[in-house]
Amino acid sequence: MSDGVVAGNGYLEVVHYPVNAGRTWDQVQLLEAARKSKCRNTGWPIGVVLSSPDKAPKPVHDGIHASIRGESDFDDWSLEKHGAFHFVRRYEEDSEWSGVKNALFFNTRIWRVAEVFLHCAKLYQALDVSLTTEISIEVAHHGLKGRDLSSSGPIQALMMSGRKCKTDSCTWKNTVQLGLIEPNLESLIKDALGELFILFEFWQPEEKVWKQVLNEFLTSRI
Amino acid sequence: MGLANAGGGYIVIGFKEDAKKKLHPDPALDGPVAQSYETTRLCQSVDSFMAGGQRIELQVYKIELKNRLYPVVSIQEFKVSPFFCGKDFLGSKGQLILKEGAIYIRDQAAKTTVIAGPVHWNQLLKVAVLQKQEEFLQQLRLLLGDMGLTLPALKAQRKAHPLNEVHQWIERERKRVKQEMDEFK
Repeated sequence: MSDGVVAGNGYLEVVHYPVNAGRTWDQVQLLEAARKSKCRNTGWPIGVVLSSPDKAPKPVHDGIHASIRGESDFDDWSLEKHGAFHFVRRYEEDSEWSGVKNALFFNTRIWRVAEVFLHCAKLYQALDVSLTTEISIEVAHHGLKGRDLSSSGPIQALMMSGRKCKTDSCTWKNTVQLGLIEPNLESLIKDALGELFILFEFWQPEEKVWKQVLNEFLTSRI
Repeated sequence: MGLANAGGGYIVIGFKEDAKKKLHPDPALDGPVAQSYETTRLCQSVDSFMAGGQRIELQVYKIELKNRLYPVVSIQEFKVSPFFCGKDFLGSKGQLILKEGAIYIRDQAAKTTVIAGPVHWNQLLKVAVLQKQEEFLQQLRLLLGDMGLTLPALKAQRKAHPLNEVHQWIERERKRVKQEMDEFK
């Protein structure tokens, strides 16, 4: 790796919190909301609530926390008493099953960021946050330098070679009213990921590509 | 930049001051203008004036009051070293507004000015010292936490604004996960 990048160093980081919820939640309420906010579009949801003792969420003094480690998987999420959520996941692209090294799959990223927004909306609805409350959302992709933009689909992957990123991190931040997250899902995803994709030799997906991948995510049920 | 060097704070957009220093809604701030304030873009714009890759942590909130939307910019204080201006910026009449290499600070008179003299310098040092104290207390809390002990919160911290508590929590989480991830590799 000529850019001095260690393969497998990349991860997605998500932070969101209600700006003025005006209340706090105890650990039991947070756990219940975490359960309800699970999206069923993938087999490994963001903020997954497992029951095995070493992987189940644990109460901590300021909320709840789950730490899930596999052979090469790393999931970590925390939900704080003011409703702040912090989530980190190593890129699935770095797992052994992906069969590639130092890649970032654009379609996997669309799935994941779509889930970030849906999970966020479900979480605060489960916590009974008013739909007019502003939610501060931050989506960051780290460990990008030296990665090639690709696809989990082998044919698309062949057509996308040579798009290497020169920057190591890309962070998108915004505040959105809770009730406007789901109606504006597509534009939020495009906004958050447009800034990431352009770092790979100015790549901008066509409109139909965004729609097709998002539709695959939305219609997927596991 | 000046506010971040003075310990952070909030900028509320959309009010004009009259001759009696009373605040009135600025009619120029209509819906589309208020909506155009957006965190990522503002960060990029501010960062383009910073020296040596420095970045100011800021966030735009939109607060509704009497059917009008007001952008509120929350600015975090510097964490490691004061922020330096990275390039000159000239106003529409050619006047120098920002100067490369200068350190700006928001002073007691609510004016943003270049550091000049001991009063400004002391203000800057106070922010830096408080940062270091907080860093030390944080390390101490983690150390005591490992030993099953807790450090009583300072009076000011007990009354801390929920958003400050959230921001501090996020920073702690980031540090913790980063450390665990480094150990995981």
